[in-house]
Formats: sequence, C-alpha cells, structure tokens
Amino acid sequence: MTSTPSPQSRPTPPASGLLPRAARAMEELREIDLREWFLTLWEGRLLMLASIAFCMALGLFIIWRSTPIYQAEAMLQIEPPKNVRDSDAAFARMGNLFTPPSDALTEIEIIGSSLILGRTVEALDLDLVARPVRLPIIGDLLAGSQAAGPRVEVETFQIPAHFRGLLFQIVALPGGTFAWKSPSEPPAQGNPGAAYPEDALLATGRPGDLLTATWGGEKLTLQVRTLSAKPGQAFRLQRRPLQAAITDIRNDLEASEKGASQANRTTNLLALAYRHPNPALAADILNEIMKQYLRQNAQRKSGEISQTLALLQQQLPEVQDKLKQAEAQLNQYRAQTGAVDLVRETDLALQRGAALATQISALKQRRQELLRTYMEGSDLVTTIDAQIAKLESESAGVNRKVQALPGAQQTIMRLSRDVQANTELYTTILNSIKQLQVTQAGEAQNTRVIDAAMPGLKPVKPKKAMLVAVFLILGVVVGIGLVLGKAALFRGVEDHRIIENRLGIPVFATIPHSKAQEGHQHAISGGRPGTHILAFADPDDLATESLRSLRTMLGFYLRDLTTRTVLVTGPSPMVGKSFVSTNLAAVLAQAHAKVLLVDADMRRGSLHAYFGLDTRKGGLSEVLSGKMPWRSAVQSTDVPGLQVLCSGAIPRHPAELLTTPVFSTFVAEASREYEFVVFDAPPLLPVTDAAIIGSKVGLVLLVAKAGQHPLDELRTCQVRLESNGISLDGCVFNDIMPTGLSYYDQRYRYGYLYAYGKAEKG
Amino acid sequence: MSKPPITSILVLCEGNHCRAPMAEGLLREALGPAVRVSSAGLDALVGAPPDPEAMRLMKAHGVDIASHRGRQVTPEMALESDLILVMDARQRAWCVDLVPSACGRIFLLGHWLGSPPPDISDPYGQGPDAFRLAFDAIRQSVTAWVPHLRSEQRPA
Repeated sequence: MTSTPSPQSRPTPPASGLLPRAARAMEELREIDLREWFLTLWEGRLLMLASIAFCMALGLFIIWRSTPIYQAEAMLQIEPPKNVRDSDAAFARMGNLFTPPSDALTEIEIIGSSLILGRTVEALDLDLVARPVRLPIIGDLLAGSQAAGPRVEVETFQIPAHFRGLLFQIVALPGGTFAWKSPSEPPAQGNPGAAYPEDALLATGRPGDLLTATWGGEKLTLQVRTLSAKPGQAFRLQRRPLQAAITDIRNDLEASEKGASQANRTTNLLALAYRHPNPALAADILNEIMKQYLRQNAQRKSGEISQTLALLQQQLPEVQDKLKQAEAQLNQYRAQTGAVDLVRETDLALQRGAALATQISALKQRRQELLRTYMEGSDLVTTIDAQIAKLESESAGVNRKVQALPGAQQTIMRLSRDVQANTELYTTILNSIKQLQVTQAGEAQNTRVIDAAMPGLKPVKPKKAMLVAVFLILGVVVGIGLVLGKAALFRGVEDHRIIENRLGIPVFATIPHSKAQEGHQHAISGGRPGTHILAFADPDDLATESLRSLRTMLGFYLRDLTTRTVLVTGPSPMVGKSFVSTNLAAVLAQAHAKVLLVDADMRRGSLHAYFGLDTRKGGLSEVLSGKMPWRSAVQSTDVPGLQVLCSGAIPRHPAELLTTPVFSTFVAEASREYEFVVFDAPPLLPVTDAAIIGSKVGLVLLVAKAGQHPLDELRTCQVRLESNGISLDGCVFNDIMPTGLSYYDQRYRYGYLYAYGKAEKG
Repeated sequence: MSKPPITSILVLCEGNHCRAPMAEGLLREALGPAVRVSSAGLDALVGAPPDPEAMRLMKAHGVDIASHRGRQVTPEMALESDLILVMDARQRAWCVDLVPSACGRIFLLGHWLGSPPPDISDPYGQGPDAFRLAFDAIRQSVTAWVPHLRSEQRPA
C-alpha cells in the first residue's frame, strides 16, 4: 500500500497542539501497514480456517493413532548423607551456602547405571523382541494401538552373545504349529569356519515345546509360551544387543529427588517414573530396577563393613597372643619370686604420687591465671607458691618411697600394666566386631522402598490437550504463512494509487462495494422484471455518488471529443463492466442527456436483464448481420433519456461482425443522434472484441475490481490496447470492499452514515 | 446542455491559509454568483484569517479576502461539491483517501496548464517572492479553468 505522502513541514501554530506533521505522517504510514497486514489476514480467513482445520485433523489423527504411554511411579528412601560436623560454628552457619552435593544425585546416577539396568534387562528378558512383521511406519499406524492382532510370547530363547541383534523368524503354520527360521544374514563376528545358512528352517514345533537347533555351529534353544496368529504370519525374534536395551530403558526412566527444587533441602526421597505402552510391564520394570538397586546397595554397604570386620578379625588373634604372653610373663615372675602380692602401700604411694602431680599442675595453672591480674610477689601468688612448694616436697617424698620399693615389686607392677593394656585393647576390638556385625545385619534397611510401582491407570502420553494446542498454533502459523505467502505471490492491486503511479493510467473513480447492488444483482441473475440499476433505484448510495464523480470526470474528458462514445471493458469477466456501463449511462441520462447504452458483448451479453427485459434477441448481432436497422432495435427504458440496444442472439463470429462497415456506420450515426453512447464490451484479455470496438470510440475505460488483478494483468491490458493503437484513457476501480479493517472502510462508513442521513432528510 | 453544470466548487489546500483562499477569491470573481465557491484545508489552521501577504496580493488584484477564516475539510463538504480543486498530486491522493467516492471530481487546479499538470507549491513562510509565484500560478490556473466551468455549447 502506498502511504499518504508525508506532508511538507509547516510550523504548527502553538494553539493547535498537534504532533509535528512529519511524525504524524510516519505514524499514519505505520498504521496503514499494520492495517494492511490485518486486512490481508482477514481476507484470507477462509484459507486460515482451512489450514487450522487441516492441522487439527492431522493432530487428532496423530493422537488417535499414537500408542498410549503409561507411567508407573515409585518412591525410594535412600540413606541420609553422613553429616560432617564442622567444629567452627561460623562455618557451620555458612554450610547451607556450600551444601555438599546431595547423595541423592549419586544414587540417581547409580540407578541409571548400566550395572543396575543391565541386571534388570537380564532379569526380565527385556532384550527379547518378538513382534509381528509389519510394513514400516504405515503398518504401525494401521495397527494402531489395538492390542488385538497376531501375538507371540516367548518363554526362553537362548543364543550365544555374538548372535545378539540378528533377526530370527517365527512363522505361524496351520494347525497351531510354527516354524523357527534362521536370520537372513550371518553374525558380524561369526566363526570363519562355520556355515550360516540364510533363512534356513531351524525347527518346527508347538507352543510349549522346548526346541533346540544348531546354527553356525552354536546351540540355540527356543520355547514359545503362546502363539495366536493366522497361518503365514511371520514374527521377528531377536535378542537385542544388551547396550541397546539398556539405553532404551534409560530413556524411559526418570529419577529425581523429591523437593530438591527448594534450595538447601534434601529429602533423600527419590521419585522414580518409568514409561511404557504396557502399564503392567512399566510397573514390573520399575519394581525390578528398584529391586536391583536395593540389592546392589546392600551388597555395597555390607561390603564396606565386611572389609572392616575382616581387618579387625585379622588383628584379634595378634592382640590375643600379646595378652596371653603378658599374662604368662606375670604369672611366671610371680612364680619365680614367690607369690608376692602387691603391697598396699606401694599402691597407695603410686596413687598419692599421681594425685599430687595433678594437684601441682592445677595450682601452677591457677598461678598463671593469677599472674594476669596480680604482680609477682603479691599476696595471692605467694600463697599459691607456698602451696606448690609444699606439694612438690610431698611428691618428692612419695617418689623416694617408690624408688625405695624392691625391684621385684617394680617388675610386677610393669608386667601388670602390660596385662592391663592388652586386656583393654582386646575388649575394644571385640566390641567393635560385635557392633559391626549388628550393623551389618541391619544396614540395608536404611534404603527402602516407600511406594512400590503400580501400573498407571491413565496414559500420560499423548498429551491430548497439549498436542491439540500445538496443532492449533501450528495451524494458525501455517495459515498466516499461506495467506501472506499467497498475498506476496498474487498481489491483486488493492490501492488505486498503484495503478496511477505505476501504469500512469488515471483512476477516474473508485466505487465502493454496495450492499444495495447485491440485491440488484440477485434480481438480475434471477431475471426479475423491473429496472435493476443502482443509480436509478438508490440515488443516495455511495456507489452512485462515485458514479456521479465519474460523470464529472468524463464531462471534462469528453468535452473536446468529436464523438462522445465510451467503451467500458475490463481485464477479465465478472469485474463489474456491465454494472459500470449501465450505471454510468444512467447517471449521464439523469443529467438530462440523451444516452444510448449498447450491449456489445454478443457472447455473454446480459444488459437486458438490468432493465427487466425478457430477451436479448433483437439487438446488436441482428443489426450487424443486417437483419434489422439499429433504430428499430433500440428499446426505451424506465430511466428517462436512456435507451438500450441489447446484444442480440449469439452470432457465430462476433469479432468478425464488429469489423464490418455496418458497425462503423452504426457508431457514427448513434454518436450523432445521442449525446453519449456507452458500449459495454466483452473482457479485453480473453477475446479481441473490445480492442476492435476501442478503435472506433472516443474514450476507453477499464474497469478493475479491487484486489482481483495483479498489476501485470492491468499492464497487459494497457499494452494490448496500445498495440492496437488505442490509448487507455482511464480506469474505474470497482467494488472496494469495506472489510471492517480496511483503510477505506472508515471513510466509507462515514460516507454511508452521511448518505443515510441525507436519505432521511429526503 | 450536455453535462451537468458545475454549481459548487470546493478549493482545497493544506492550511486553508494562502493558496486556497486566493484561488477561491479568483474563482468567485470569475464565475460570479451562479457557482458556489468555497475553500477548506486538508490540515487547516482553523479560524485563522488568510496570510497577510496573500491578502495583500489579492487586494492589489482587486479582491478582498480578509473576511475568510480557515476551516477543516470534511467528507460532507467534498460530497456536496460538484468539483474539488487541489493544489498538487499529493493533496489529490490525500483527498481521495478522505472521500473515495469523490475520486472523479477531484482535479488539480493546474489541470489545464499542461500534462502532467504543474503543482502549485506552498508559499507559506517563504517570503513575498514565493507568494508572488503562487499567486501568478493560481491566477493562470483559474483563467484556464473558467471556460470549462461555464455551460458550454456542444461543439458541432
């Protein structure tokens, strides 16, 4: 859309308070662009609706066809992480800033490890695939999610590890038996010497039989539990590579710590979820995973304890030996020296000595404390000094006593000390062992299953609401894309100014879409009697107003022409040529002029219907073929001053008739007798008639319907006429739709109100 | 009589301050009371008298336009007029946007002065020389329009 040209800047008087002009013009331009955009979308709403409908249908089909996925959920409590007590209180306060990584994360990783999942796969035979052979993708879609259809359940299927991934086949045979066939390709790492016959029959049997076979020198076993299929139905039988099976499970498994989203909170509760099309299997797999995890956990924990136990139990005999030795030495010595009991005094002396030593050290400490507040030599300090001196002398006395004891007793004392120490060590180790054994028994109970997995009741996928929303949005986006794309590719001229600026053809009139004309159009196509001419019936309609403007314009254009003959044509059919020609003739007649309207479209002429005439016969084609003079073919109408010449019966070669001298004579005579002669011609692009008439008239008007013609089409019309030496004088831009958003609309609505008001006034 | 007579003319310029009032005055003088001539602005200085320079030039020509007051154009004004004259192509587009139905009645004031018709540029705030130029252009244009506006006899 071309913008309104920016007005020249002119200092705005302060009183008006308007924006500066240039800014306002820019704003107007932007507004127009946006409006244009919405307008395009609004006009393409049908295409958008179609696109939305299509996308929704696609989405619903996908939802309908997609396998429902069920989710089994479970909860595990894991052992709380060991609390590291920080001695520093300040650091402990900061501890919540530096939370050590939760143990839960470690455990989640362990749960998802190949170790646990691998054991799960092995325990549940999840690497075993036995499913009917279908067409890829389409077959799955056709089969949909129905559980019905061919099924096989395999009890055991044992193959060597390097046969994993190979596709064996089970083919149902009549009578409930089946055939077991070898893969159609040798294994990747086969024995070089072995033979691998392709698609060979390995064995046949019934469900329940344990079949054995040899293929490539390896022994294989198969036992089918159940088989329900029509004879001839083939099944794929495969043990997938373990890693692939593990990866699949890992993709379907979700583990997270409950409440971990809140900062600094660790709940040590793991939420586990497993998704699978089969709800019961999902629960089984999840439970198996937890089982394997717990087992592994228990093994790991008890493993740590057993190591410690083993170490302690290793040390125990050594300590025991030492103890025994010490006891033996003591006994031996006692036996040597004669049973000498420890003298009580010695005991006392020793105890006293020890007591004194502690007292002295306490006093010395006290003295140090006192020295912080008191001088050396102050009363308190001297008192303490005196006490210390007293105690030290006493302790020296005791020591002397002990040294004075006989050597034998000293030896006994030393030996007894050995015995005592070894006894203590022994009991400690023994206690630890006892404790560890208790712990070992109760260890694994820290990690436990809170909620076991249950089969999900409702599928979690497909998420219908979300998918519908996604496809709805997709539909809208695709629709917008299509509409805008179409608009970009096929740009029907929406703005008459483009015609003026790009083609240099003046636009004589812009005619708004008229509601009243719709009614007339019905009457015309219904062939109802009466005059169905907008300018005649609805003089206050805005479209009539436009036609009167056209009359003004033509008044100035035709003033200097010798023949006031006007040809109305258009690029293609159905653009409103007849509407324009008829109504133009009517408004010209209303200005008290004598007007002849000629229906020059001898192929599909329809002007008679505008005037409620029954037939088009007895018109131009008869005149040109010499069957009747033109004056007797002209008919009067209800519009004063307007007479009409219908098209006549359909001739064999209309274009040739127009080239006859009869036509030229008719045009010359008619333009002398009437002030205006208006020709309604066939469209310009499909046939040559219009160009032939155009060379004989004074003025050529091209009717273009808003938004119907790309600029090139109009340019082609111009070129077509010019190549025949005819200049295209002007364009009538017809049927501008007030779309509700268009730039024109507000003006038109304004105009409608205005016209309505005028009609009210009379 | 061959075509409807033009009984009312609306002259438009931007501010309804210099050009349109001059053209209005000249047309009124040339056509007499038979034709109703009025003027308005597409973005008018509402209520303002014409530019003193314009008044001076018109007075020298013998037409007093001092009583004119600026007014803003409305679709009704456009629809009620048989002929709308504007100063340049931009204003024509502007006016067509305002009243699409009147498309065929909107002509440039310089319509008869050549092809393409010359624009009459805005003298506002440009000094007396610009006004002089504009006045001359308007006077030529009006002189060219007048024969087309009188009910003429059909050429033989």
